[in-house]
Amino acid sequence: MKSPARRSQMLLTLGFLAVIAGVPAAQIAIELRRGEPVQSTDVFRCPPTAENLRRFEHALEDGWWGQETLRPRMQQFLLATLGDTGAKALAGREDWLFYRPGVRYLVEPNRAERDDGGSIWVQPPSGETRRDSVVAAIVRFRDQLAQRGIQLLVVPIPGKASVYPDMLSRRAEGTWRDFRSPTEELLEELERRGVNAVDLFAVFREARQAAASDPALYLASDTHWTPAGAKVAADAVAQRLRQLDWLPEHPYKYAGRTVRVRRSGDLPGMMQAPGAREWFPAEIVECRQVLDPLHGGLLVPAAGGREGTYMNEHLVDTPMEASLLVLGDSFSRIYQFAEPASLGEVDGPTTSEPSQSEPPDDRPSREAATAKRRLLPGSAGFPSLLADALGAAVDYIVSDGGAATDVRRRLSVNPAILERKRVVIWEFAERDVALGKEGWRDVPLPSAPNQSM
Amino acid sequence: MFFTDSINALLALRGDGLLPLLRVTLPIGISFYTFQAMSYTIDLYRGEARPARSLVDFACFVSLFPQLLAGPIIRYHTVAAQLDHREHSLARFSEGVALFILGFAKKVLLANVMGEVADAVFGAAAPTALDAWCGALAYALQIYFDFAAYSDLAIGLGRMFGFEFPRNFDAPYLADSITDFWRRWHISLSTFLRDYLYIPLGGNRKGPGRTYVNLAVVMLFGGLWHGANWTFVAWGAMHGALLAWERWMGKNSLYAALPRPARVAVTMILVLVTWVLFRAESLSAAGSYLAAMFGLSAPGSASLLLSAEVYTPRHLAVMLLCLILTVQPIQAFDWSRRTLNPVHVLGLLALFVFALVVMSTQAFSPFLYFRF
Repeated sequence: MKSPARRSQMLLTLGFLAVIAGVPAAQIAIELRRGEPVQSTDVFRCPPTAENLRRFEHALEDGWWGQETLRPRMQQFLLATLGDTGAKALAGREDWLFYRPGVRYLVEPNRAERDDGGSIWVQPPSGETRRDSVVAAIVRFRDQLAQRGIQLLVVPIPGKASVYPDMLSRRAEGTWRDFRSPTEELLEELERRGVNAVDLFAVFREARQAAASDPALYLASDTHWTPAGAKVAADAVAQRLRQLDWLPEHPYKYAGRTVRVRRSGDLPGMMQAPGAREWFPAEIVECRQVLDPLHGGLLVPAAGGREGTYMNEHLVDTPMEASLLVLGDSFSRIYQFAEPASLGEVDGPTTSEPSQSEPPDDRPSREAATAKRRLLPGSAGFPSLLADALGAAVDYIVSDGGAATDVRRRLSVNPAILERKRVVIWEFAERDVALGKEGWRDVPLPSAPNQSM
Repeated sequence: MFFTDSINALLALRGDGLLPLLRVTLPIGISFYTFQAMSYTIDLYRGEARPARSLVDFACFVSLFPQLLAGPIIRYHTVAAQLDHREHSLARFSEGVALFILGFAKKVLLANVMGEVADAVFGAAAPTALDAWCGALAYALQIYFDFAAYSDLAIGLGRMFGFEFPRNFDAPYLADSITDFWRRWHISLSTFLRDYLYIPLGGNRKGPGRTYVNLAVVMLFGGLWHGANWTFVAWGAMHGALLAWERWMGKNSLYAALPRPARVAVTMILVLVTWVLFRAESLSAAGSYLAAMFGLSAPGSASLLLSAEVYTPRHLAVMLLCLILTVQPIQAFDWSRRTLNPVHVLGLLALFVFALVVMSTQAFSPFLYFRF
């Protein structure tokens, strides 16, 4: 008869070996059951280079059955027990959430242009630090546009933590007005280099002070601003354009109406924990939808671009062609489109604004045809609000997370967009200065055709 | 590269020509198996071991896979006989499993989490003094649990294959002096340096002055062994200076008369300060960080946000757990050898599965000592 100690040793050994062998065995069984090729044999199908091995490891990790079953449950457990919000989100006060890379950008020192792996953030690199190189990249783009007789207005969007540091950390309570984002140094440098820019940091601080944060300028559990924040930004940009006398000559009157929207934040989704959305409930915000009084429709394109990228060469269906072009990211996308994959939804009936030239109810419109499909109302984002504030049509190219390079790349392959443009408004999230998906690549614009201003 | 860069910096001051820089790709773990190969040669030279029976035995010793990448450093004479003959038993295998599971859990559940805190604070532009101390403590816990975890994994795997590797840590943060610290921290390195460098240099047999020089040389070399960077040289120099100072002061040292808990606390503070040199990317970064720790630099307004990243319930809970495990006397190395009952076994298996699933929620986090 075996001794109790030996039984324990046997149990531990067999249990350990079962776990070690059980994970790949279960994976193989699942793959065979699904009729898929056995992924673990992929390692023998290509040369064992570092790149191939890394790709193999990532594929194994992504394809592991536990990714879909165990991992979310564990993340949910960690959220429930220790308040762990995962790698992307940071928990603030009063159930506010912040995007961790955005906070990292604020906390870290000005990063060196070349990272540890030797890769370059801005191409071509023009300075020791990323911020210096980004300034140089902006100046290059300004000069490229100037050759075509087009002006550039740069609009770095403050991250949520730059405007609401006190909602992230109690330490900033009472001192949020003094909070300085590193992007403000970038703005100063742009000014020294003669690049026109809008300082939304000061504008937002002032707006927050004036409105006592009601409504807030940013969504509590989302990376982005509220419709109120987008409106403040659009008004500030419009004011700056007026100061610079860069407005079109014939102002146009838009109509508008208020729509209440229930929007779930993007940050709970990033936690990849099943219960996160219950922890951080959807917020109800009021959007101002901008309408075209002549055509009775929303100022949104009939069709979007590829996933994550929305390009509209003629945003407003008016007789005039837009002389303003917005290049931007998800800060321009949010509320602007009827996002089929978005998390928001129309909350109850919309309320019309009696002002201006409201379209008659019986007038056919694209909106009416697609209203049921819409989750978010659309035409209430930064581009439409800017058009409304300016009284001028606005075209735009918007790419989620791609304001640094992708939007310029899209522009370079569609140079016809620039033919009648006088002003380009370049909006990007401030964290793009040092963090992002591809850095700031050099994108040449095709040579300017002969054109008059 | 380090030496070439350093010499070139000196030559540049004189306006002389620069040495060409050779870019050689080094295999990981080179410092460990270089030491093992040296150990083989020296042990044979000293007559402490007999030559390996074959090239295969020698290659097996140098590239012994459980500890190849990050130690512990195995000296040839300690395993020469085991290369020849090992005993395999269920008891030994299960002891190895127990230690392996404990090491794995230390790495995933403790070291990686403390690494998040350390990375956040060391990566900040201008942390507050409180944050800087917290970051240094987190790094001290990270490097201990990370390296001790790897040692546990290596020793555990060794046991599964019938090897018995020596202990590499012995509650180092309970040391009550720097001298005591080096008896408890990375024991395989400190004994290697003692037996193969300090004693051949004369140890303490050639008078006090020579002893201090020997200590300094050994610690400088020990620092440089960790990596070709002036931060490691400074770290080694600081430890060498502290060891020499303690030896010089003897029982009259600044804290020798304090009660043991106070001595442990003072030693811990000294160790924390030296870890800053070890962790920082450059000497200037280390200087800035130390200035922040001692309130000599003004924190930036953005540093207010750091608390949200650092003082989360998860980080604080794990830090507290780490501190408790650090000061309690039971070591995984010894515990894994005790007779386990079914409750222990079920606890270990549950810990293993839990750590495995937690690992799936974490980003890739290699062992710190992989780069040495």
